[in-house]
Parts: sequence; structure tokens; C-alpha cells
Amino acid sequence: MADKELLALFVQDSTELLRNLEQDILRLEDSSDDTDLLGDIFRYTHTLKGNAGIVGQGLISDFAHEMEDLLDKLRKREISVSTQMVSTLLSSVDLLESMVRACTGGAFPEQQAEACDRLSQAIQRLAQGEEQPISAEAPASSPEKARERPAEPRGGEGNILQISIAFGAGALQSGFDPTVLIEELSYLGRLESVEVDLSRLPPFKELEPGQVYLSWSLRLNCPSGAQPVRDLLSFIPPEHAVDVKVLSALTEEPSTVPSHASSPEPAVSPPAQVLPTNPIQAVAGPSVRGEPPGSSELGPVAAGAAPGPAPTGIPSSPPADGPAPASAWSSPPALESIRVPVSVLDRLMELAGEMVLTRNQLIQSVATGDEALVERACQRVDALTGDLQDAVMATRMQPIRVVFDKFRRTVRDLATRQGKQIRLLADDRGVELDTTVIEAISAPMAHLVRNAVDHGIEFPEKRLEAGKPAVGTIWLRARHEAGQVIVEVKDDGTGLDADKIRAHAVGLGLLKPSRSASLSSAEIHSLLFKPGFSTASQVTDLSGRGVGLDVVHTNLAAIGASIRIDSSPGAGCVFQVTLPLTLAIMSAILVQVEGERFAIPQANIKELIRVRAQDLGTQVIRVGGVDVTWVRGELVSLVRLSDLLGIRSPTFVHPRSGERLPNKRRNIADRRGPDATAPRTDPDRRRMGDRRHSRASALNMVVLATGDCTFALLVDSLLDSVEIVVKPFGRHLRDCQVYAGATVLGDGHVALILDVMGMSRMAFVAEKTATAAAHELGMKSEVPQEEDKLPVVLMAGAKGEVFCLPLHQVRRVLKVDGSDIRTVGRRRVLQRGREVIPMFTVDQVADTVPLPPEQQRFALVFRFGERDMALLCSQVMDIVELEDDLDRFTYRQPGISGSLYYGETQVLVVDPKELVLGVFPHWGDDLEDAGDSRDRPSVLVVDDSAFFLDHIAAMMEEAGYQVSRAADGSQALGLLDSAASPFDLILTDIEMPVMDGFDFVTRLRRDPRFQDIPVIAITTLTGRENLLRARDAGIDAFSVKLDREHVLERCRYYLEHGRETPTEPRELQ
Amino acid sequence: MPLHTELAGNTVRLSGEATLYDGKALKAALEPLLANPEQVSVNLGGLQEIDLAGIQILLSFVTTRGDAPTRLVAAGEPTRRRFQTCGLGEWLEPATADSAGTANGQGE
Repeated sequence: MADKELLALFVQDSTELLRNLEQDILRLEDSSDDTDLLGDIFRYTHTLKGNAGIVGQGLISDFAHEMEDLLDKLRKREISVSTQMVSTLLSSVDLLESMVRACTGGAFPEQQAEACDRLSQAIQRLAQGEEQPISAEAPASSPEKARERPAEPRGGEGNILQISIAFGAGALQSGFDPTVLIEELSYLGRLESVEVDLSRLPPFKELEPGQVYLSWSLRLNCPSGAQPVRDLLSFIPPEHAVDVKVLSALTEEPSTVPSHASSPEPAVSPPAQVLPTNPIQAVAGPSVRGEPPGSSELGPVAAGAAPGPAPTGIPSSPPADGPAPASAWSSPPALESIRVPVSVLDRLMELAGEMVLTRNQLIQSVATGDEALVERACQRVDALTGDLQDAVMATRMQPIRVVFDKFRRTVRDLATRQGKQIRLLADDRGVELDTTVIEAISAPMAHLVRNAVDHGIEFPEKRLEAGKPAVGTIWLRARHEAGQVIVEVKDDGTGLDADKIRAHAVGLGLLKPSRSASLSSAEIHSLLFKPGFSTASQVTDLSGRGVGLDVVHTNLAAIGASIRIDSSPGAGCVFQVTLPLTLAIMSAILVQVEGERFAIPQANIKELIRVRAQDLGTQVIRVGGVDVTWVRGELVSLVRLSDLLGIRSPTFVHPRSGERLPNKRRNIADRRGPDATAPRTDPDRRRMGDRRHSRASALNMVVLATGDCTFALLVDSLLDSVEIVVKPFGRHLRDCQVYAGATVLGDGHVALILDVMGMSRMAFVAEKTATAAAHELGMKSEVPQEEDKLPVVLMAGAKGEVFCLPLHQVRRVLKVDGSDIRTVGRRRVLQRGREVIPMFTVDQVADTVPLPPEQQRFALVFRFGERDMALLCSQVMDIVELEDDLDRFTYRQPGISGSLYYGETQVLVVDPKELVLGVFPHWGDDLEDAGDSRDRPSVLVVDDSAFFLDHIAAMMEEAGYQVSRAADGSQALGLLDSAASPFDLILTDIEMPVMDGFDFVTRLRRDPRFQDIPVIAITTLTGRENLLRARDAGIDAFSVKLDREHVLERCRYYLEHGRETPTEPRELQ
Repeated sequence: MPLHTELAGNTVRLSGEATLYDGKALKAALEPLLANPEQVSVNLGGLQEIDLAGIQILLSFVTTRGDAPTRLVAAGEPTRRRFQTCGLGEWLEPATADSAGTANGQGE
């Protein structure tokens, strides 16, 4: 093997060794008596020493030898582990990383050799039992000391960055405070000098508090390389200039530095104290403004350009030539190699062999003309291709633990430097993600973790004052859910104050005061993702939590991920990120517009809706110059795809005559001809060919969601659901905002993949939701109120039987292929890649017509406890809203809660919980085990409608509550009176026979035992008069029926905070 | 917590948050002392949060007063850290033994 190859192998191996070494050293702090752990640490160091010796890296070998001596004494218990020792060892790992990276670059920099000497001496002193700091900037021994120190090194030395910060005058207004950025930078290394330019600071009377007048020039010694700085600066928008020059790039990988930076200037002169004794003298201009000859200019760093209009789900391809763009600074270097388990490669080999055999069979069968053989061979190719796809994907899968592990060090270092006590708990559940997803989430995740440390977890004394343990906790969790991966960053810190965010949003003009009152906590929290909101959070207690979150949101959305926040003041905060497993292959819906086919990623699709032409008048309206439509009680913008792409034809083909005629309709809602006053049901009009009565005139809408923006896209036709292989665009097309790439279809044609976020930006629907527009236009009263109607999914069984499942229980619909079904014993599961979902049919429990296997074509996936379950049907018919007239007698049986009418059709209402327990009785025990009922809050649900009572109760049980039911106020009072322990919460309808909700709550409040129980009214009643009646009765909040998120959010709120001072009940929606 | 200011003689005492949102209030609190030729002290002990807006107002106050002696005293931990990290530590009076007490708003 050539020396160069050997060295490359050494770098690869050492990088992994050092990563393991760092993780084990971090564990050492809590497990200093673990002899196995000490053995591992010693072994890693020893291996590194040996490997370095083989490739002639004497300095690395010698330094590892020094570490080995120290570790040997630890193993022999001659010395004991201390915090300082752990810090020194971690610094040693940093230095070794720098040395390993630098060793491919040729000469070893003198400055790094000096750092090596200093650390070696520190290690020797520790080995002799002396507790001395590794340098003047060593970690503090107490939090107080740590907090007093402005800047500290992370470890070794050798990467000098010159950073100029000159934010735009309006930076503070839009959420960016340079002093916070400098503080963040100080955590990444040692600030060797900080020069402030005060020359633009105006006299006191002329000063505008919101303007930025100061600018800085920093010299940062960053031992871990430029990557952490790069990650941090990726959150700064382009209008705020941050220039970065690498003065000494000892650990920088050549690939990440532009070509003209390949010869970094030698180390700069020793850092000087640049602050004048008399601070007034600092008013003089900055001393560092010129560019040192030969310095490598990496800026201006434009983070806004960094995320850019990255196409949804597509990893951007770098330009083929020319200098690296500014955004290259913010993009992590692509992995050059990954490790693949031998078993996966064996599987690939095996599949490749089978593929060759099948190809031979295919050739032979085609030659003989045997159609049956051809068909069999094609089926085999189909199955093998699927398996091959899974196997290839497996080679790209990396454990998310790789990302989590990085944060142990981040949290430890940040916490130590800030004087906080924080432990990090990670639960990755073996989750793996595609390498490109892992790369894409690293920086946003790092931001969320740093945010939790900086602004979430309080200082120990504040925690103790608040009755919390001094040590704060950050949890990192990952799990599979519904074919996606959920990653959570949770802390038990100060949490978010929704009222404060609301007030700041109003102050910043992001929210109208009239609208702010009606927003839920979740909607309020989502404001943190809005560009320009950050300022508010940065400078107050609601805290830097908003800083850069808009960029986190944008970067995640660019890979088809989404993020949401859940938080309660004082209790902590959870950031939940939903990620796709891979970016290379995705599920998509094919649509057609003006004869062209386009693919829309299914991850962005909320729903597909077909509107009959004659219903357009009521379904589509024009508000403020834009077309909007009603989707489940909410107004959303309606965008015509052909208009967006600029391909709309000025003519149309008449659906009946086939003639091509000029299209006079300007707006989507335009449907009125000269005879518009004639009744639309007039049979003459049908005969005369009124387009409104043609099936071809129906509108197909794809309801799309990206982040918190939802809009409907109008297309000519919906074609198919397909798995597509994503082909990124070349550099000439990569700036196309609306497209995310292309894919080759089964027939060989190319279809462009639509970028949902890009479309929303282009159509301006992200700027303002249609609902907000409607509110502004005073349309609130026109929002249709559903009177006791329940949205359900209608599905067909065998021989004309129709079932339904409440829409809120359905998580997704899957098209089932026979090859997806696996049978193990008497149990059947639906297997898609690594996802396994237990499946069953209604007839397994209820007395209904058995559904033959060949008709088991669709699956409705719903949640049962912690599991996804699949209910099979022959067809998903529609989503409709049914009247509440549940017949609980005629068809009531296990698995069927009753029947309803949909037009003339009788629909059996499925009770999914009973079905599951009918098929898997012992899973009920699991549910009980999952949450001891004694620990679950008890809720009393009061509703006269059996239909709603069942479904609200099911919703609450699903959310983990212990539920009791009553049919009216009188029954509820009886239950309350006889209950062994008081209920924690009551959900009640208002309009009920015997005793209505007002009367019930009025009587409830008269009894001292029940005065503290929060009561939420679930009703369609609105209006100030009813609100006042509710307040007088003692009701705490109103919610529209089955608005699941609002109801659950309010329940959580009241269970945590108890009843508020009785004023006016809050109207939730 | 919003900014609270208290003027006593030649000392103005600040508590709460000196941020963008309280910039006008901070300016208004300092303005009466702008032309005072005697030594003026700005007690930062009760400040829980300060951002660039607050810092700039304080610096402009000191520089505009020119030769008239001005002291930024009793800065608590968050304020001191922000000033020092940003290269402005020397604008603050050095921390004293009783700074901790004043930093918690327990008196100067």
C-alpha cells in the first residue's frame, strides 16, 4: 500500500478511535470506578499510539504515549479521576484530532507543537498527582469562577480565525444581537483579542436604542477547527456582515477551504491586549481592517444564502467549477467514505447474484416467447429490485447516535463554562437515518441543544429557588413513527412564556392584537420560527430561544422535515423534529397540468380533494385578491399550479364538445355565464352542455403543508402514487425555486419534482395564511360552524358493506401490495422496509362479511398505545362529515360501536380499540402497563351525544387520561358525588337534556369539593353572551368540538396550572 | 421583567432587563444626569439581562458626559460577562466583594 493510502487509512481509523475515546472520557466523569471503561480508554489510546508509529507520525505517537502513562496510573488506582483531569484529557483528544487532520497536509505547524508540549506537561503533572490547570485558561473549579471568565479555550490550539462583525443597523429589530454571537463564539475557542469599534456611537441624545452602532474585530483560537464556527454562523442572515479569515488553518480540511485559501498565512503575531486602559480611547477606529496578504478570505459569511432556496428533499449538488460560493462556508463537508457492515455487503452480493440469474431467465424466456415465464421473471425482477433498494439504502444508513454523541461534549463544555449543572440523557432506540439526513440535521440539532443549554436550563441557584434539582436535564430522543423519524430535544428548564411571546409578536407587528387572543399555545410557539421574531426572544427571558430558530426551521424544511415546540413556563421545552428516513428515494403523488406530469412529495401532502364544478361557488371564494377555499373549517390559499409555473394555456378543451375554446375565466372561482341566474339543477342546462355539470370540470386540489403554512394547489388531474428516485439538478438549474429535482418515471419520461416550500414562497402564501386574511377582513363570523358533525373516513368492506373510522384517529392511508404482507403463525403484519405494522380486518372480531385477501387493498393506520395498527379495507371511499345520529343498538357488537346513515347508505362505525383487543387481547395489559391508571389524570367527559361521548373519550384515553363518562349534567353530578377520588378535569357539552352544561357547572361550583376542578366546555356555542354565561357558571375555557389539539393543549395547561382567577373563559377557537 | 429605574442623588439604580424594549425608558432615566458635572454612578446590580441596545445607551451616556466622571458600578454576573466577552469589560467598575449582594438587588 502506498504511503499516501496508508496515511489516509490512518486518518480514517484515528478519527473513529478519537470519537470513541472522547465519548468514553465523557462517561468517565460519572463512572470513574468503571475499570472496563478505563480499559477501553487505555486501549484506544494505545492503538492510536501504535498506528501513529507505523505511519511515521512521531509527535502523535509521543503525545499518545504521555496520555497512556496517565491512563495507566488511573487503571492502577495510583491516582483518581477529577473534573480537571477529564477536561485535560478532552483537550488532549481535541489536540490529537487536530494533529491527525493536519498530518495529511505535510509539515507539522510549530504552533501546534507548542500546544502539544504544554498539554504534555499538564498530563505529566496530573500523572504525578498534581492538580494544576493545563493553562491559564483552564476550566474553572467553580461555577462562579467559570461565569466570571469571558472566554476560554476548548482545548488545544492552532486554528486562528479573524472575524469581523458589523451587523446592519436593524439587526436588533430582526432578532440578531452581535453581543450574543460573540458570546457564542467564545464558547467555541479562546478569544485572543476583541476589538470594539465605537466610532459610530452617536451622542446620547441622538442615539436610537434599536440601532446597531458598534462593530467588532475578533481573533478566535478555535482548536476544533472551523466547522463549529461555520455551523454557528450559518444562522446569521446575509444582511449582517460577518467576515471570516483563516489566519492559521491547521485543522481545516483542504476540501472545505476555497482554493485560494490553500496557503494559509503563518501564525499571526502573539495576541496583544488591544483594549485601552482608558475605555474612552476605544472610540478610535478599529485597528484591524486591512486584509493580511495571503490570508484566506472565507467571507462574507451569509447564512441566509446558506440555507437558500434548497430544494425540498434534495441534497444540493455543488457547482462543477468556479470558486466555492459563500454558502459553501455554511455547508458541512460531505462525507468521503462511510463504514458498512460486512453483513450488508454480503446481502448486496447475494442480491446481485440473484439479479444475474433472473436476468438470464428473462433473456431465455423472451427468446422462447413463453409469456408465463416472462411474467414470472418480471415479478422476480420486481421483488429483487425492492430488496436491492432496501439493501443499498442500508449501506447509507447511519445511527443517529453519531449525532447524539457529539452533543455530550457540547453540553459538558457549555455547561462548565456557564457555571450550569446539566446532564444529557440520550435514547436513540437504534434509529438510523440516511447519511445525507444525518449531515443535514447536525447543525440545526446543535443549535437546538446549544439553545437548551444557553437559554433553557437555569443556573443552579435559580433552579433550587424554583424547587427544581440543581442539575438540569436535557433529553435527546429518537424513535420511528409512521414511516418517519421523530427526534426530540427536551429540557427541564425555564420553558417558554406564551403570553410573553404573544405580546412581543404584537409589538413587532407580526401579529394583530385582535388575532393574538385566539391563538393556541402551539400557534404562539410557532411564531418563534418566523423570521424577524428572534429579537424579542433574544433580549428577554423568553430568551434567546428564538434566536436562529427561523433558520433551523428553514434548514429542516429544506430536507422535508418539520419542527414543532411544546412548552410550559417553568416546566421546560420540547423541540420535536419529524424527519424523513432518506432523501434519495421518496413517496410522491404524480399530478398533471397542461399535459405535463409533476411529482409532489407525499411528506408535504395533507389531503387530496376533488370539488365538483357546481360546488365551486360555495367552496372557492376570493378574499383580498386571492382565491381561498375551505378545508376542514379553515380557509387556505388556493394556487393554480399552471399559473405558478407560467404554463397556463389561454384556451381549454370543452369537456363535451371537445372543441378548443378561449378560456375567459380569470379567477378560479369564476364560473358564472350569462345564464348564471338559472337554477343549476335545470336539466336543460345539462343537455346544453353546461360545463359545471361535467365530471371533467371538477377541480382537483392537493392540500400541501410546509412548516406552519398550508395551501391548496390546483392541478388538472391526479395520476398515481409512486416511489421516485430523486435526481438533483445540475448547477444551471439548481436555483429554480419551484423545483426540487427530477425523476425518471416508469415509462422513461422525466417528471419534475415540485418543491413545496419554494412554491409557497413564490405564491406568497407563506407570508400570510388565508385564515389570517379572513380574520383581517372581519370574516370570522362567516366561518361555517359545524353543528355536531364528525369527519370520518369511509371505507368499503366486502359485498357492499361500508365502515367508517373517525378522521382524527386515522394517521395515514397505505396502498397495500400483496408482497407487503407477512404472515407469522396466525398473525399478519404489513412490512414496509423496516417498518412493521400489525394488521387485521373488521371481520376478525365483528360479525361482518369476511374480506377476501385479494380485496385487502388499502390500510388505514391508526394509533393504539405506542403502536401503529393497520385496518384493512377494499377501498377508501371518501372523507365526509356525518350527522350525529348514532344508532347504538341495531348493529352494536364487539368492534362496532353502532351505525350511521350517509345518504341512503348505512355505515358501521368501527371501534378500533375493541377491534385490536378482540384480535390481540393481551395488548390491553400492555396498555395498562404503559400507564398505571393511578398515575394518569382522571377526566370526566359529559355529553348527551353517544357518538361524541365515545369519540371524545377515545381521544382522551389515547392521550393517556383516565376517562369517566356521563350523558348529562345530572349524571355527571351523581358520578362526582360517588367518585372515590375527585376528578382532575371536566370536559362538558353545553346543550344537553335534563341538565345543561351551564346549570351543571353552576351547581358544581356551589359544592366546595369541586370548586378547584377546571372545566372546559366543548361546544359549538359561541358569542359574547354565552361566554359571559359560561364565566358566571364557572367554566374555564371553551373549545370547538373535537378540535383535538386545542382540547388536549388546554387540558395539559389546566392540569398543570389549575384554575385561573375566574374572569372570562378563554375562547379557544 | 421590565426595566425599573430609581434615581437617588447622583446615582441611578437599574433593575430588571435593559434591552431593546426598555431602551427608551433607560434613556429617559439617564437623561437628567447627562449634564450633571459631579460624579454620577449607574448601579447595574439589579440587571438580570442586558443586550446591545442597553450596552450602547450606557456607553453613549458615559462618552457624552465627556470629562465628567461616570461610573458603571456593581454589575452582576450576566452583565459583567456580556461586557467582558464583547471586549467592554473595562467600562465597568471592577467587581468588589459586595458586588454579589448588589447584583442580587440587596443594596449597594
